[in-house]
Amino acid sequence: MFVLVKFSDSVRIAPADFRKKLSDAVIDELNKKYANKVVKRVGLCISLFELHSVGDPLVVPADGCTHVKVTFTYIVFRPFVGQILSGRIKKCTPEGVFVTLGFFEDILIPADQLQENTVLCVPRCVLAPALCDHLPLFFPRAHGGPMPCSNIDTSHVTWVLAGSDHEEQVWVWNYFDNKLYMDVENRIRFRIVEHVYFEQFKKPTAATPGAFPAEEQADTSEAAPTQPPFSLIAAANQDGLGLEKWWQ
Amino acid sequence: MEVLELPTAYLSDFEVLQAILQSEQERASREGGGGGKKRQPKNLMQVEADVKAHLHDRPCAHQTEEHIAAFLEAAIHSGLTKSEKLQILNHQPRSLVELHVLLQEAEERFSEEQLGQILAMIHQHLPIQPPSDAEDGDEEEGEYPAEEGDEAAAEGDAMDEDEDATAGQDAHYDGEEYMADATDDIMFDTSKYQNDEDDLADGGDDNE
Repeated sequence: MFVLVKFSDSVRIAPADFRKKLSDAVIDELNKKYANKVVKRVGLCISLFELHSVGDPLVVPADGCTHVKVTFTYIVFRPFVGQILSGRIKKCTPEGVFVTLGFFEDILIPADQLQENTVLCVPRCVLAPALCDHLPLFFPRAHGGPMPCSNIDTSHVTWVLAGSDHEEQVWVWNYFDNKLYMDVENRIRFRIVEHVYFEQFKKPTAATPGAFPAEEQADTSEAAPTQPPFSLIAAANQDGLGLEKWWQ
Repeated sequence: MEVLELPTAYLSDFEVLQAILQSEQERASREGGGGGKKRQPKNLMQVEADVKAHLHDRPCAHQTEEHIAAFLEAAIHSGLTKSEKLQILNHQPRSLVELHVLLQEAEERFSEEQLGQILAMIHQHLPIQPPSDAEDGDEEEGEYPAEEGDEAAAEGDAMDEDEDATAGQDAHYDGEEYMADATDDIMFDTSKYQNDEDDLADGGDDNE
């Protein structure tokens, strides 16, 4: 899931760092700039692997810093499509299962990519009676507990009502007569399906010359969805995928 | 910033863990031991700690270079592609169903007997993962710095597999050469297996 990516960049070294060895100063600057950052269409940068070349430090007018051209390889988190990863369940929502790797949290297994016959159990308390009318299914605990209703809904996602044993909503795989709960914190194995990169655009302020630029900016940032810059879509709809303990 | 080559090589979990431990070591020695950590950027400390925590939870925490070299050598004629070997190393499947997930079209390419052999190979050459306990992390960190010097080169060879698996012990690659080798290998390997190639190509296309 990790790859080496070769970059070239120009590094700016502040006078305070002149006492360091040039290569050390460059390494520090690169780590400051890249570590834990997402590079568009590349992935999440982790740590510097090695420096390939460090150019001569140049001074430009009106700047006390030196600028150095460097080429280097960086360790980048970028699982290839089809790769199998293993992480822990962060939360279950109607959208699907969110998985975290610790250092990377934006992995979604959409509801239709879970094992066949997986349903979402919602605790009784979160369902207001009025809301229940809009849900495809509603099965009271008294009638045999959480169960998918096969004769009404043919879509993959079916809503059921969970008993009191689960306080949060949770996806449940109905494997023959067994109910396999995908509880939070469990280890889950999944296959990468897609990379999703999201770029936050700043609207140009030139279109409305009368408006204050600052105000404009505040507006757009509020309206912008809080989508992560890099997220992964995964699947767990195959034998061997899903919670690791299911297959041991 | 410019991306020159993407990706130049695929790393196994083990290599990443080693690279991180090594870079921590280097920084510590540069700063002269204690107190040096404070000067490091927060983002780096954060991501390295998180990645380490994740990897210590995985099979790679118990692997050594010898394990990997032995496994790759044994797997030369197994018909596994490079990416499959990489995934086997990362996951260490212990059962048939776990192995099946990692292989492309396993049923068509391998007989049950062959799959059994691959599993046996994993059991034989890779360490059994003991139940996780807190001490693992410290042991690892203590063990590796001693052989730091050759690590990068030797690790590189672990990835160079097929032809190079035997050369693993004596090689003195420098970085550039290793990069080139690794990429060539991947190209070569993937072209042999149509499906595998599709997979990797897909990954690339998505991100062009």
